[in-house]
Amino acid sequence: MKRQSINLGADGLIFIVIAAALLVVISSLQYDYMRDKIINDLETQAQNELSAKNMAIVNNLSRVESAINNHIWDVERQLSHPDSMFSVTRRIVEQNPDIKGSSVSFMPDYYPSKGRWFECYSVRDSTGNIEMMQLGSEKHDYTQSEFFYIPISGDSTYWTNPYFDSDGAKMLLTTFSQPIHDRNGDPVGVLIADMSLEWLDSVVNRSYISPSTYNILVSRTGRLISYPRRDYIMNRTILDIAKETGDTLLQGVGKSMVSGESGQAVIRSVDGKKFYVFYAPIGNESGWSLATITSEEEILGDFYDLRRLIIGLSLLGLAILAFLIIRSVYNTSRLQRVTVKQQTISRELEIAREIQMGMLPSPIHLPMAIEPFEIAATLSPAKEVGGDLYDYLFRDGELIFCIGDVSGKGVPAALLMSVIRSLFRSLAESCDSPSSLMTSLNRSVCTLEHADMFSTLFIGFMREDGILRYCNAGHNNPLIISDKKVAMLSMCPNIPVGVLEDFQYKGEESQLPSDSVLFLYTDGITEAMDMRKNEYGENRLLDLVSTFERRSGVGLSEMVKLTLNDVSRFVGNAEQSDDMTLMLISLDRKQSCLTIQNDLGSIELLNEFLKQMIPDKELLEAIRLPLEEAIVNVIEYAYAEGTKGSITVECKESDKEISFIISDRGMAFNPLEAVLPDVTLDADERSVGGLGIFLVRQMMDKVEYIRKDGENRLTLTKRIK
Amino acid sequence: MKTTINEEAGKIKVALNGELDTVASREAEKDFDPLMNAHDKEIDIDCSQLNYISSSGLRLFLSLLKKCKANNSTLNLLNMNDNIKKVFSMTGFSSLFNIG
Repeated sequence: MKRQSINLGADGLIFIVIAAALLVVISSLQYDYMRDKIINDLETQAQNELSAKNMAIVNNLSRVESAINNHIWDVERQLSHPDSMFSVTRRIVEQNPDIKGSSVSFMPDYYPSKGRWFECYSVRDSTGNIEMMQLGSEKHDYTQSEFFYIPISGDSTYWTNPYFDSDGAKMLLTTFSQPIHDRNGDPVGVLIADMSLEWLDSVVNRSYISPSTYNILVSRTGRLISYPRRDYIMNRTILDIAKETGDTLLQGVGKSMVSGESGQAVIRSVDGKKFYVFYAPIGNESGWSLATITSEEEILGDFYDLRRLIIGLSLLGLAILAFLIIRSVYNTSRLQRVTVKQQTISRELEIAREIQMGMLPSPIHLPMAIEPFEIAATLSPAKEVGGDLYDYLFRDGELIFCIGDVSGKGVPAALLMSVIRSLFRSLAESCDSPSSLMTSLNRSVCTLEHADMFSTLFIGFMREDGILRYCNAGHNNPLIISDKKVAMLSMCPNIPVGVLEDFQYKGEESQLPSDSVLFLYTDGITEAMDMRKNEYGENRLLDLVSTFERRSGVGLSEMVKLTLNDVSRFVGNAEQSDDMTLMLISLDRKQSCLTIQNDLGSIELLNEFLKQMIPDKELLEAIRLPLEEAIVNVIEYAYAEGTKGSITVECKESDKEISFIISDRGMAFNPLEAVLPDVTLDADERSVGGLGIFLVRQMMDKVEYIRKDGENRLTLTKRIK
Repeated sequence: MKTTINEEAGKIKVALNGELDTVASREAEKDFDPLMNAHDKEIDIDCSQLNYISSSGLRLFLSLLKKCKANNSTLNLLNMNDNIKKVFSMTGFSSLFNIG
């Protein structure tokens, strides 16, 4: 599952990256193509416009050229009649609205009668009337003017650089000048026409390309003839504007234009905007050049907007796609997390189970011996956290134990199980009897929130002498295994724990035969089911257990194993549905042994020992005296005076008799060989010695002595009922 | 074991309380000193609270008896329980003592 989602995420991302890359590539190509197309369109448009404007300008200029040219003949014809020149000029001005003024200007002293200077001038004034005058004078030496000397010296027509009219109207004019020749072909003067350039504005500055496209018209020296900024006109040249902006491209353009070249360029303005410049020279002798300048932004503005829109939409599309992919990845990982969470929960339940198992007294399965008790217990849990419990502790010479089964399964049962165990442990310290413990425990459980669950419980207090005090709360009868016999421990039933808060539990007492095993179990054993839902059952258990031969040394853990194996063989492949608990307790007084030192103070220990060994008061009294006597004998005589030595008293018990084996490593001494006192003698005659051994022999049924391996072994045996 | 000795109207009344095991018998010897040295007296030892007697205890009584004989005193052992009586009879001591 995990691998899939990672792949989806990674694949998705790769997909998006590839899609984005493709988009970028495609849109770049598209962009370049469209841009080039737009620029090409612009170029075409610009060229067209340049041509058209060019033609318009040329047309206007040629009208003047024609006007002059046509009247040259007139002037040359009347050279001998200077005064008739006035009318020529008048006629020129009359016939050409474009021409503001016209003059014929002669070489100095050509007409001696007229003086050095002779310039016939006609001009149209502001009202429209034409004035004629003779302009030439010392003050107004036209021979220094370019319109005069350049055509004369070059012998060709000439357009002057545009200039502003001096008469205050600030009109831009230019002058066309054609030389006049005499019959010999020598230049004698010029015929000029001053043309206003007012019409330039309307021709030049109307562009169809875009609103802010503007045109520049420069003179042969680069001076601006037409420019959007009127104050620049004739004041600046294109080159110094270029220099000002530091735009080398513009400088290049300027130079090209002045050289009469045509071409195009891309320049940048001061604020970094791009402009397309198309330029071409005016097709006549004026030497002017026209350029059209379009801002890229204007041309491509819409295009850019469109591009932005497309990119925006694409990115939006990609973003949506990315969002969807991320969302699906998130959902998958959330699903994963849920799965993981579920796994965590079941893992936590496992751990809870382990903790629960760990809380049980350990070691499970191995026999535990707290002399003289031997305990083997096992709890075989069902898969789920369950409610079986067992516990034991040792207090004041008694083994206090319990076994129980909480109703239900799962976590609530487990919790109640833990609670009951804790209560058992703490109450066991202070309660004197199983019934009082059970009653207190029940009350505590009932006062807790226990969700109406209840638990069976069996509590036992087993003394070292084999007296079992017990109290049963709804639990199944334990078995007593002894001597190839199996019996059920009889119990008054009592209700389970957790049902009635104030219930007073009744306890009972029984003497367990020595060498017997108390077999406690929960119904997980008897109710274990095979595949066909047959139960293992009580009878099968009884049959099995009666085969256990305690005598032949079948240990407790062996019994546990045999039982579990038998159940599992019966159950086969069926799943275990309930906890199975076994607790086996045996009280073994056989191997009890006392070791004391050879001083009379040890007699106290002997008495304690005997008290433990012999619960029967009568028997105890009958044994105490001979044992004391025997021991005192050993204490006094076995070891040399002042030597420390140990004496062992071993107690062996069977159904029929009880034996004490007194052994020491002292001097060989057989009390049986001692001379017995004559009890018939009277007081004077009686001696004090020998009484002890006498009593021993009198009060015990069997007295045996051997000396073996450096050890005295005196065995005293008494028959018991 | 605790030995209480009272003299009343010419009789020495002794009360024994406890057990006369080997160690106690040794310790009781000193307590019995006044009895060992009593001349011409009647000594009543109340054994109702005597729960146990070992051979040492018997020996103590025997030596007391011998001393009493020598001192012309009478020794009476009274109110012995069955177990003590059994021991006395087993050992033949019951025939040596005045048991009441």
